[in-house]
Amino acid sequence: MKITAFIKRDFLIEKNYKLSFFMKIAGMSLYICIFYFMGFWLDSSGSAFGGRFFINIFLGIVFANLLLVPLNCFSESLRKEQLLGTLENLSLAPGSTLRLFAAASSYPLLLGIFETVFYLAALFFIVPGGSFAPALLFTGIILGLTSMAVLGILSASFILAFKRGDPVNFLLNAGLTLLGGVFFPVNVLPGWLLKLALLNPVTHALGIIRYGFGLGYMASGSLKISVLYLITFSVAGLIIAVLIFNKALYYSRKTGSLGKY
Amino acid sequence: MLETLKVEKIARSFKAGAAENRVLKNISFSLKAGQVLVITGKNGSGKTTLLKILAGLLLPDSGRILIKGLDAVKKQKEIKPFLGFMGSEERALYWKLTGRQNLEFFAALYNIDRKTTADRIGKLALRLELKEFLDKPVEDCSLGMKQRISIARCLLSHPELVLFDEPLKGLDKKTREIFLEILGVLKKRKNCVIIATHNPEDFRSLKHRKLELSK
Repeated sequence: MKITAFIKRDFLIEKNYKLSFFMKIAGMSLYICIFYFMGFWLDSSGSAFGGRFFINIFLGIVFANLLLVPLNCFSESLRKEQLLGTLENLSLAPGSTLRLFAAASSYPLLLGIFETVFYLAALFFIVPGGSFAPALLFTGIILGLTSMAVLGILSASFILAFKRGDPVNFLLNAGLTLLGGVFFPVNVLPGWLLKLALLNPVTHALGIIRYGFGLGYMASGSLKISVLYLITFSVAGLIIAVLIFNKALYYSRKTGSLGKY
Repeated sequence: MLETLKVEKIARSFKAGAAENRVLKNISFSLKAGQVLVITGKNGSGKTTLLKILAGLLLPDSGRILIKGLDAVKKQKEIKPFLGFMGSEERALYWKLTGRQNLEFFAALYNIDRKTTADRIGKLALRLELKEFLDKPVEDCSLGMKQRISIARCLLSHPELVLFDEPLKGLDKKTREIFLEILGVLKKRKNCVIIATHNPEDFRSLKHRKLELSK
């Protein structure tokens, strides 16, 4: 009920900005054209990712875009409520405040999925090759989104306690993309960076997703390791993130800064 | 009869640089079902602070609050459904949505089903004379209209303890009378109402208790 209420609310608000929505669709269509022409050029010249350079990069960009949604939407929805002045009223609604913000993130997540499906339409022009395993793709997406939700909750906690969280999010986005194997295989990174990359959930999630598309490269060396790593990261991370969020909420109630921005 | 609200020795201070501003000192009172409490005091005397503490938006430095016998600080999740809070801030609604859409959204957060929501919005719209502007975006509404929608939002979940911070701000004479009528209805329904105001005179027609906060 609450999830649908938030989706309906955000959709009704977005309806006021129709032009912006259509401009975004137009922009996404242009990106598909860029991907299409890049495909011709890169696949004939690239040798990274075992010669399947373009499709790997394409999947990396499209799915990293989706995986990073939970990282940003928790903190963004919280920040939006702060700025609108509705945060106090929202936090007084029955149920846990964290669950409310999780529900508030459903619309951006839906939009992210729509965007991903839209970009994947470009695969009509590109033959991925190999065998397609939807179960693996689904596993990679779910585990990746859950892991990113951990970081999203931590980022939201930062905003709750210190208000402006953009620098933290900017750093996280850049770091996770750089060390996530989005644009290049992480094995080109120097040793210590490779170790950091292997701690990055994006690296593992993208590996599983690419595997699901029949592209065999796994940075961790094994599909099983990546799945286990993401499960551990999600479960342990969620427990810690929820504790920190509750601490931040307590801090903002203590300082009286919940409604401030 | 068990008090709906019991406040015991609440204290709260804020840090202003190196100095500490003690806003609330040992505030104690209790309210039974159907009672109205009007809190008055000068600017900065702590009226809003006290309401926010009662709503669970702010924690007291010391003291205890019991709402229906539950500790409001420790059991915040459990007491949320009993509470209705209307702050004094103008921007407490989604301005891009209409008044009705705002009310429907908040009703959904309180798990009120659609039929009951439509029924309650209809009744509140009639009582608060909202009908004319209920389907207008909030951003196109006047201050008084927004205030009436905020009152409706606060009462939508039928809270047992209702907290109003300067509820008459921006309201014309007629709407003030309507609001006083609503307070009468809440009293009859055995709700507890706490109002923070600069002008206690506005509520003289209503039987109520007073709490004056001093700086």
